[in-house]
Amino acid sequence: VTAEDDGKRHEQVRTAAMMRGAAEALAVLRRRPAGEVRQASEYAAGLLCRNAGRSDWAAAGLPMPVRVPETAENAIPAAHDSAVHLAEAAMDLHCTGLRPAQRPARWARLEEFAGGQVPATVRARLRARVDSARVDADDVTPQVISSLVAALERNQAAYGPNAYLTGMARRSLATAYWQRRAGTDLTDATALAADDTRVHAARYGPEHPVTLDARSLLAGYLLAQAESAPAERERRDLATRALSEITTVRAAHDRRRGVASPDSVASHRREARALLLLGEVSKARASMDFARRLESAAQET
Amino acid sequence: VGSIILHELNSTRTARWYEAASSTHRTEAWAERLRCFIGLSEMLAEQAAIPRAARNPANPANRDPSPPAAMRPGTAPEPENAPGQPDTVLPVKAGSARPRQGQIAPRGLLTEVARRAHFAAHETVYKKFRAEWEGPVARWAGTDEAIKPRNALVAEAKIVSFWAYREGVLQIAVKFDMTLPEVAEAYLRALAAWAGDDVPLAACRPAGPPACVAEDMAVLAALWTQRHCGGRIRGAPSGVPSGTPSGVPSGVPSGASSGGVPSESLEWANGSRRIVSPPRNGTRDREKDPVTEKAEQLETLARTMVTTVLDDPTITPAGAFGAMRDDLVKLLAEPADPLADQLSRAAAQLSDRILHQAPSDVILTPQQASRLLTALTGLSGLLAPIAVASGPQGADRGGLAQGGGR
Repeated sequence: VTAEDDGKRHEQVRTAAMMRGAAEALAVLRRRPAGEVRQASEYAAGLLCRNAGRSDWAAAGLPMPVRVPETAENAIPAAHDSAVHLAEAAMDLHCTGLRPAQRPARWARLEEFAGGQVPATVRARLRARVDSARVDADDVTPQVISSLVAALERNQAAYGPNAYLTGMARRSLATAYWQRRAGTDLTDATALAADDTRVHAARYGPEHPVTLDARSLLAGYLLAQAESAPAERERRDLATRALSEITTVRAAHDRRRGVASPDSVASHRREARALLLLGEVSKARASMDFARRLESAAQET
Repeated sequence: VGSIILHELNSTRTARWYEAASSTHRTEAWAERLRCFIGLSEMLAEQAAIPRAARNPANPANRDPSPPAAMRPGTAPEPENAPGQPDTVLPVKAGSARPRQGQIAPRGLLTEVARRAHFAAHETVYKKFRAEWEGPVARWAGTDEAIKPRNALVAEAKIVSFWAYREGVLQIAVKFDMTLPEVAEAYLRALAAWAGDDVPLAACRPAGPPACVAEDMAVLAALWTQRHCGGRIRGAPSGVPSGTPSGVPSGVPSGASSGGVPSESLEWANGSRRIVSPPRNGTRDREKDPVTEKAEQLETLARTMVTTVLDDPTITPAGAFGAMRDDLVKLLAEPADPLADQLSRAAAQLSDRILHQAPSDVILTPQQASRLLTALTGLSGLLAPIAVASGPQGADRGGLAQGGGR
């Protein structure tokens, strides 16, 4: 190994790290206005062409900048994890400007482009992106559900039940069940969300924002289950559990983010639904009225 | 805003050290240093891999190169004797709830790095990283003899490893004129990405972020204070421009910015490094200046970010950031009048009690409710013009929205 080889190797490591940092920074721009998000997406694609060149990134479905930059001397391979991360950031930004139904095909194209050259863990990450986009687009066909179940089993075996990636897989599958609502889907979604809540509560505490998000999902599934329960007693039991979760989440959001925060307002609406199921009509009306007033006041200001 | 932040972050002591040291990149001195860092990373990666090999090969986790080994924190003394194994490495039990990376404290670090970097004797490495260094590249840790060569090497390796992630963030910050909260979020996410990409280095004692992070957080804190406290930072006159002659924002604690060589004590080498503001007299002793306080809070977030990754290396930067988003939002929020906060909390409590009162409960009498309604109607008339002047809610692109990506 010559000093020159060492130097080149280090430059490639630097390039990969720079791209990784840039990918995380670009992801922050997701909340910018649509035009800026589009620019950010094209910029990310330009960075890829320059630093992970000798590859047709347009074939990956990414939006290309008007002037595609020349490939740099120390470019890294297109299959490098940093390049794939940056491509994901570019695609994520690009997809914010598309309708949900248009997104799965884009992610599938990126998966097809990179999938053959990357390690199994990266392939699994790209597959999860495709599946997630499909669920967001209301595609909960058996093929999608099978893929989500396989991902959960794989992550659970590889990383353990409490790992973050296992939690992500669990949450994606729960969302898919909740959308499909066939057979025991809602029960299964609730069970998965309850597991997720337990894991987060054990790690972060019961009122940490991450746990509150998990509890909010759990409450939503409980509510959906209650609303579709055929038997009165089951409906009441589920609604009672849902109301307890929703009220806890809402009170925590009130304290942390203020009573007029979108999360609190959404929780008031859910509380109204749970109260209605429990026959507390006047309280349900009061909660719903309060949510509406907060929303209209927010719009006025 | 992005370019101001870039200017300030490019003027920190570490930024100046890095520029000076790496400008000799083509020379042998810098290349030799890089060989040491590569040697260290390889050594740490191998040691982190030991427990995985010891595990049951039938476990799918053992076929996956990405989940790091689980280790419990090391407790070794200053290790400059027996090269080879780390002091404490234990495999996880089968069926562990999640992977976890403990602190790695390898023994004989300098000797092993010297061997891997193809130096004939470990003294060569020792001389590069001791307080009275030899060669054209000054060690980042400066001339403080209390900082051992082993710790100086690890600190530099972390900084150099992270530096390009930081550059990637700054490139985007300038290109898209990022606001301070956006830069802070991007920086913390990039830090999590660094820790996730090189878990063993992040876990090398003292486990945690590179030392430059504290300086950078101090810069962000100073910029935040200048913007939201009118530049009136204790110890700095009001209206001091953001760039001081030393290139560090006014109000950045002296420990983070003084001179061309670091003045830190052993604190950073022991894993408890904090930017220490100079002692003050009398009753002010208990009171920190706002920049120092903010900087310490931001640094704590950065440390937590890395700890979160080591605690579960499968977590994504977005996931790690999501766990502390609210904390950053709170830290970088515009300061509110305490009365407004009180009123907001009271409104939440009162609405909660009214909505959930039992039929027999009396929260307010009609007269009390009427008086409160009158007061709030009057107050809403006072608040409306202020709210309208601030623009539509959520239009501030510089904010940190709730929720996050994958």
